[in-house]
Amino acid sequence: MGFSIPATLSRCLGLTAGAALLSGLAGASQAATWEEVQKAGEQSKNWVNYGGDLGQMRYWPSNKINASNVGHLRIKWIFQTGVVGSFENTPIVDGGVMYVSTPYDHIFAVDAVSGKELWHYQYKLGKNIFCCGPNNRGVVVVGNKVLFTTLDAHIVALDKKSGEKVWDTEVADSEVGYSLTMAPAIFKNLAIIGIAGAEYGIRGFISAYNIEDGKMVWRWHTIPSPDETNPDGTKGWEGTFGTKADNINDLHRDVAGEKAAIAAGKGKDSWMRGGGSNWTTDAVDVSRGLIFAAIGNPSPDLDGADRPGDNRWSDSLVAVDANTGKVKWAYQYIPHDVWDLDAVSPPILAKVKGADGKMVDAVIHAGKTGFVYVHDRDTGKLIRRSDAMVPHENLFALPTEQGTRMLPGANGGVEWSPCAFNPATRLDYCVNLHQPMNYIVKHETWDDYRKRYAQAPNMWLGGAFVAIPTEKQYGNISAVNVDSGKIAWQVKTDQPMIGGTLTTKGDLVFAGQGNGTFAAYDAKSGKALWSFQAGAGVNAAPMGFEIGGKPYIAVAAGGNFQLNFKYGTSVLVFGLD
Amino acid sequence: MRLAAPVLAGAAPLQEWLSSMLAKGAAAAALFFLLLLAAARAQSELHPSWLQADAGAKKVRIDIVAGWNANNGALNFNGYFTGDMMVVVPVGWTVEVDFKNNDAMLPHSLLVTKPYPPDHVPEIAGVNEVAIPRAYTDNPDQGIPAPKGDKVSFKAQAPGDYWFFCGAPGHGLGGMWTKFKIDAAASAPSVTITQGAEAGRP
Repeated sequence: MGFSIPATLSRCLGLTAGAALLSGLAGASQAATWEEVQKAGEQSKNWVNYGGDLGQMRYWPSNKINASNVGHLRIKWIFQTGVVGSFENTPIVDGGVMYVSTPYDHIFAVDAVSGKELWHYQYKLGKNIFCCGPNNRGVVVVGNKVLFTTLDAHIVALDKKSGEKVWDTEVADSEVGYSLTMAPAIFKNLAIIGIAGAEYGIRGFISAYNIEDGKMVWRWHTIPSPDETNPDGTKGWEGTFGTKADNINDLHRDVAGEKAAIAAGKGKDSWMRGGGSNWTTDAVDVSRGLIFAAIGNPSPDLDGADRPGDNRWSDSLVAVDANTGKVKWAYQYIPHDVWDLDAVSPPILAKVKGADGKMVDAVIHAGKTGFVYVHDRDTGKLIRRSDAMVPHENLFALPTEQGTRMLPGANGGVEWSPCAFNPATRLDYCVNLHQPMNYIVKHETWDDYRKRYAQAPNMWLGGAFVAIPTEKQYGNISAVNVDSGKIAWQVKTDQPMIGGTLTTKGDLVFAGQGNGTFAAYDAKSGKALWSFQAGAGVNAAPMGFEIGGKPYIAVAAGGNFQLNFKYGTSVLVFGLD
Repeated sequence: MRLAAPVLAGAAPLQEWLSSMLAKGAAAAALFFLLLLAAARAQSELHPSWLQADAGAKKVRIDIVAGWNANNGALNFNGYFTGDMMVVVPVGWTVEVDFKNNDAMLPHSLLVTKPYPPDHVPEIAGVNEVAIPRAYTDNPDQGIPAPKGDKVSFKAQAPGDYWFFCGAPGHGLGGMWTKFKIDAAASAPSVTITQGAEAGRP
């Protein structure tokens, strides 16, 4: 594949950065150029970003597989990584090569036609401390590089052809609980990533790294310091003491008590360990020069006693200048969260019907709360919130020492699982969990926690989540109309769902389950059209690609640690007879 | 010279004797004993409802709940962690462990492993790390999700020190282990809790 310098690219790149990027691409025989990365959503051949297009619609614009022929979908090849763990990867395909990341940060390049391994890179982990499994959700390809992040909080670039390491940059100190599990997002010459670790009292951030040399270009902390001015003019992370979620649901806050605590100086340093991970891939709006990021829970998860205030920008959706790292707007779903209800599922960029009926540029996010939120992309204003996709009971009742039953459970709703949006059906397809649990609070100061951590590195939850044995857990796939907020259809599953979805121009939705079922559904009705038994949990988001005009669907089938779905090590690739 | 010694249940007379020895000038011997005391964390015996012994059958049943409470971020066995609980069983007894996971957020397991030095606690533990044949719950390196459980039965044959250990990734390293001892000198099972440990299952 030849390489030319698009005029738009020349304009949008800075001279130095642009020259560096272009020189790096010049020798690549199969380069995923910035132009290709930008237009990823307009073609069905390659899948170069984690979410398909930079806006993460997970919409595969091919109708070669559709309701009339999906029944003929057959396994074409299986790639066994041999790495056992929680397999959450979405494969990347570019120029006939598939790139797969695994638990414990192995990277494989595989011939996308035959399934033959081309190279294997095993990252040598340092100290890694992670709450919820040895996960890695994917790589991204740009130019002649494959980029990925690691459990011990590094970002690494490999040569796409050889698998040799090009650079390796430490993002944060993994010894104190920072870790990385997300696929990077690409903007011009930058790889943009968030950080995980809010179960360990980290201070979250989003950073941008130069793709050529791995040097950090900017960093924005998700938890503002006391002298940092927010988009609404307030300073720090205490906020305006919002008492309702989305101005609708009472959060049962003791605002007077929180203000008194602040006046007494309590928690004045709490922002330094306030959590706020950004642990799934961000959406990129190239024309606006913005990224959109879901920000996770505050630290500690269940105990708000030592962090009075709104705890901005935990549990938020934020828009950040992709060139500078300056926050443009932020919308906090749950001020002063004490239920671990992160914003985590990757944001999606799409046009949506506004309140006045006109189509507007929007950003869509599905929450652990079980709602799908639709925001104005320029202002962050909430246009609408969907019907609840999972049961809500005793919503936002405060955790107690004895335990408070509240639905949804702390995994959701929608966990990290990416949703997929189909612009033709107007539906956003999300997988949900229903896990009844009791929320328990237990106060532990930061100093006491650090003593415990020094003895054995462990989580700072401020309590516990206790299962309710008598209540059944289950899951569902929900199709939500983003123009109305109404649920068009749901498919209930025996087990909680985690992994994500793919939707296609052929009006299909693909999703996997923990029991090994990988299935295709009619995108308009939810009718099951085809299924395959993978023999291990299918708990990853699928993708599509074409080679030689032939369409393929791929998905990782390797189970899930947190929900204890059966392990395997397979990447399954399906094609038509 | 004043040395700090740990408070030991039932040890007050010994401490008085040591003080007396110090006063009499037998400093070296007293110092030796005090250092021994300081080296070991004090223990108190527990008579829990979750341990039932049948001396006639030489059988002990131990109910263990992973994530029994919020201690240690729920990474605990019956509320205990980082070696704060020790179960002692006589040689030759049959041990039956009824294991349940109470933690809605994470899967857990229980293996009987060898004790590990602080710098060598494994991040993950599976069948290969089991120190006593058959002494592990299902899928030890992956764990069992709440509210499920498993039953384990094994013979306490080789005297020595062991651990109850959660093999799920990062959990043992995070302190989800307690002590288990097969004692040739013991005549009945017992449980001791390190003084100052956070409250666990009574």
